[in-house]
Amino acid sequence: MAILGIDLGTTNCACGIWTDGGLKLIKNRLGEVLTPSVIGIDDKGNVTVGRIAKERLITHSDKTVAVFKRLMGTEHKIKIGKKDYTATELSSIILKSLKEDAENILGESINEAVISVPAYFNDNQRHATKLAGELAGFKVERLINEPTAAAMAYGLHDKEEGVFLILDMGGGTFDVSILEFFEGIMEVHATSGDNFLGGEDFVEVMVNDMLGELGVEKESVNSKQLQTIYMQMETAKRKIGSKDAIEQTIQIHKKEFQWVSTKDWFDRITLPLMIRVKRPIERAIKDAGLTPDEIDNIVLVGGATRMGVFRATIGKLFGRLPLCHLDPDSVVAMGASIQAGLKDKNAALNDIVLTDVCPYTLGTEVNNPSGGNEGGHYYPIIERNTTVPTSIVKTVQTSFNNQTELDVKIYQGENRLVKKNVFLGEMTVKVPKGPEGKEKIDIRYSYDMNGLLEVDVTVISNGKSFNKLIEQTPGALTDKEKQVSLDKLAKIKFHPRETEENRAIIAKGERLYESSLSEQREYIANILSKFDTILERQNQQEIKKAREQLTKILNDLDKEEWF
Amino acid sequence: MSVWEVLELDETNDLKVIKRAYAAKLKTVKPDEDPQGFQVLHQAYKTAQKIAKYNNAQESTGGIATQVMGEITGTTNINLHAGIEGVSEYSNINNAQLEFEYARSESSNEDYHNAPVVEEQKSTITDYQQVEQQELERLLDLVDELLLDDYKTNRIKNWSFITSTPYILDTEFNWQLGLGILKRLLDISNVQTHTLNYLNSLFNWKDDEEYICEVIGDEWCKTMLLRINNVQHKADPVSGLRGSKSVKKVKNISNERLNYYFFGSDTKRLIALFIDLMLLLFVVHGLFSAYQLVFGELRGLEVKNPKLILLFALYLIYAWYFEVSFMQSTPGKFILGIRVTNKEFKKVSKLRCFFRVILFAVTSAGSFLTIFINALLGGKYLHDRLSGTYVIDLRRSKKNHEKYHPEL
Repeated sequence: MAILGIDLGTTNCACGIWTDGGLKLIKNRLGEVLTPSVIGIDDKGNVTVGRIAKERLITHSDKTVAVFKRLMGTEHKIKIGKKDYTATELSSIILKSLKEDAENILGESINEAVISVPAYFNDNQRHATKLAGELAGFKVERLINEPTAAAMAYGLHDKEEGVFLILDMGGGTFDVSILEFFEGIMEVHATSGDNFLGGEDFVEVMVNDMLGELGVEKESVNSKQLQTIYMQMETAKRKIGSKDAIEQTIQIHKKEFQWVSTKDWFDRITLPLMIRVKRPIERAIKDAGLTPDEIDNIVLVGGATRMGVFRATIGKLFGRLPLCHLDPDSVVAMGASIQAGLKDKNAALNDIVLTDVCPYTLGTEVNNPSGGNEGGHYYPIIERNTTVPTSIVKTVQTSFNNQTELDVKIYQGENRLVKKNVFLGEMTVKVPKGPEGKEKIDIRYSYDMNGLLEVDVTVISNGKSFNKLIEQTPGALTDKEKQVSLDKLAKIKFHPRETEENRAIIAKGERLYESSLSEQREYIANILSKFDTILERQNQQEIKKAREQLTKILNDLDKEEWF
Repeated sequence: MSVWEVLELDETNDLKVIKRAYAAKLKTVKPDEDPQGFQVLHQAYKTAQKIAKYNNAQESTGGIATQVMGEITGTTNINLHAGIEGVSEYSNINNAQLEFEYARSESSNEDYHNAPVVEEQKSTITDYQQVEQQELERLLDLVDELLLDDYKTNRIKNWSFITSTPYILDTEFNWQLGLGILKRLLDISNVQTHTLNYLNSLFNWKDDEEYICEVIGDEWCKTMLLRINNVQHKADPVSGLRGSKSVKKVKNISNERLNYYFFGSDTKRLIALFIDLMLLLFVVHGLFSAYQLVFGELRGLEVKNPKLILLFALYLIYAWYFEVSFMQSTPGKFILGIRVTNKEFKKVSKLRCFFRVILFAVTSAGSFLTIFINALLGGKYLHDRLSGTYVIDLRRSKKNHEKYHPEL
């Protein structure tokens, strides 16, 4: 039974498997490798995923949702239609749909998956991703860092040894990894990143700046128009590398504005973002103990690295051109599939071993080390960029006389004060009474290959031990809650596969209808109703022919480039 | 077991040999199958590499280092370990935009024995620095001009000349320019927060807050930087979400510390005390009435004013109970937006709160004298001070925080 390798991205998802014949990316029900990470509910209460939902993002924005990956591991509930979902549940819906697609193509059931996560995802977010996989019916034994996955794909594809710097900018996150490939070993030296920096931020900046220039309050624009503006700016962002100026008609309220996006304007307003791009790169290189010229290849991954401004900046920083000959959108899925093959002990991959690092420092709270009973200080246990799996013990002691309990708080981050780090969980350990400093406990942090942390505490004097897989994390579920989630998701019905293509084209037609005016509008309404009549006759041959025609017409009409 | 035994290798300084041995060994000790074995192996590999690098450096740089010392005076920053690779270090420097500070300082200092290449490099670097310096001065002149006009200063568009300089991404240049601008901003009065936010997004002052204020040496520096809303650090994950009717956050887990806290004012605290006592007075009266209904008149009580004493005792328990609860204050204080915290501005522990209450009881024994003293203590009363607690006006502090950190 094959293991599915999945890239669960902010904007797009893709999946693949490793077969004896090598890597195979799996196409979805619409025959495409990329499935947009968009979920919607249609009028009948059925759930749609992917391109159809993305088309409906404008026409039915309150029943559709996109860009929710950043909410993974938080407690936010997102309302679509009548129900509330967490980001984890939404992700599991997408995973479920990918699972169906893969099962359909491979003709067997798939119960195990390797899912990619941004390298800089924290423990909460990793747990949430794993949970999403489980809710979708997968056994998820391995999470793989996205840049590591990409590097694996490159390493295996090029069969080239050396040090790679991987820059992975997707829709919502930016990851930097430094990886060395030698003798079949892929060793990650350092990872860093920014969890709140991605292609979507560039669009956000464009939209905000444009509305500011036009003197329009963002809140006053209705959601349909706002979605259209986002789509138009997305289009402009994609074209701006090849053209110097892009002219668009922007509709706000009842007015029309002619807006020209120039390259200078784009470079100027996105400069703060590019400055943010630079920092994690510098840190990763420093952490790896390298100098910029010890890096043999720079690899770009993720759709947002297609931006001209991104490539130019990287070129400037390193004085050379980065590699990008594998499709940046699907390279992570390729790597995840390779990892799935490794997990499956596929013979072709027998000689490949991957070692990864832990991207953050993990530690606990202690009193001020320079004396005093002032708490709140951070005591690192596993330093960032330590090669994993790793297991490290540190000893701490009681801080006042007759102390009976020690509160072991688990934090992640780089600041010397815990309050500026991310709180992951805590456990209370009982110790026998005694004078200050007499009782000592060993805190052992074990960080596994999936980036999940386990904490063991042993009281030295009596040998009692306490173990905790962090449970009190935000977004974590009890068994009961998990069952509730499962029941809720079980009720979700996807549309019958056969009609998907028809529905995709209708959704696109509806979007174009909304965004066009007068004559063109009538024309679209006309051809759509004709297509409806043909659908009713249920003659498959005729439908297929009509669909092809319609697709062609609509593609000609569509000026936007946002997939 | 020595590292060489783990790697099954004779001691060597050849990094390639070490790498190969590690690779061969790793295929039998895979990280996912034998985590402990892997940890030992990896540790051995890293240590072996360190030993070899150190030995190599000892052998090859001894000579070079003295040579460098001899030729150039005044360079103190020679990095012995980086000098091994020789000429290859230079491959990039021709692209004058080479970024990384440390890379530049290393390459400009080391390997001067390699005469012909070095001469050329040296001139490139100084040319580059000169051009950079001129550009820096030009920009700072423009900044001076801009700052003459308050209105213009606070129009972000007017700052766009900064973004068009080709060196803005250069770490050193960025730092110098940021420093220059911040110094100038400190001299004028009318800089608005959005302007500061924007400039911070270009120069990241906020990240090196302490260091930059030390360099500038101006006490206002910190105050000014406090106004900056560092969006990146608390980026709202919801901001990017597209579609959906609404998003709700179920639990508010962020227990964010504010930059400024105001202490509860005397008036507010008096009002709070009054409200609390009124509430308790009802209870006390109720208790006495109930007692009288059931048992008849109170008799044989030696105490002069039983109601007052009961009221006082109840207040102590009441204060302790509510101040350690999630409310962090008595209902009277709660209504007025006042909270009792420890010096970390977090919830007080049960023990500390107990001390606080006892100290309150003890100090209030001095009645008028205490009130007089407390009125002079600027919001930090005797029992607050002695028990190490703060009584803060959370509502006012939050308002103040929002004023300086407007939602974007």
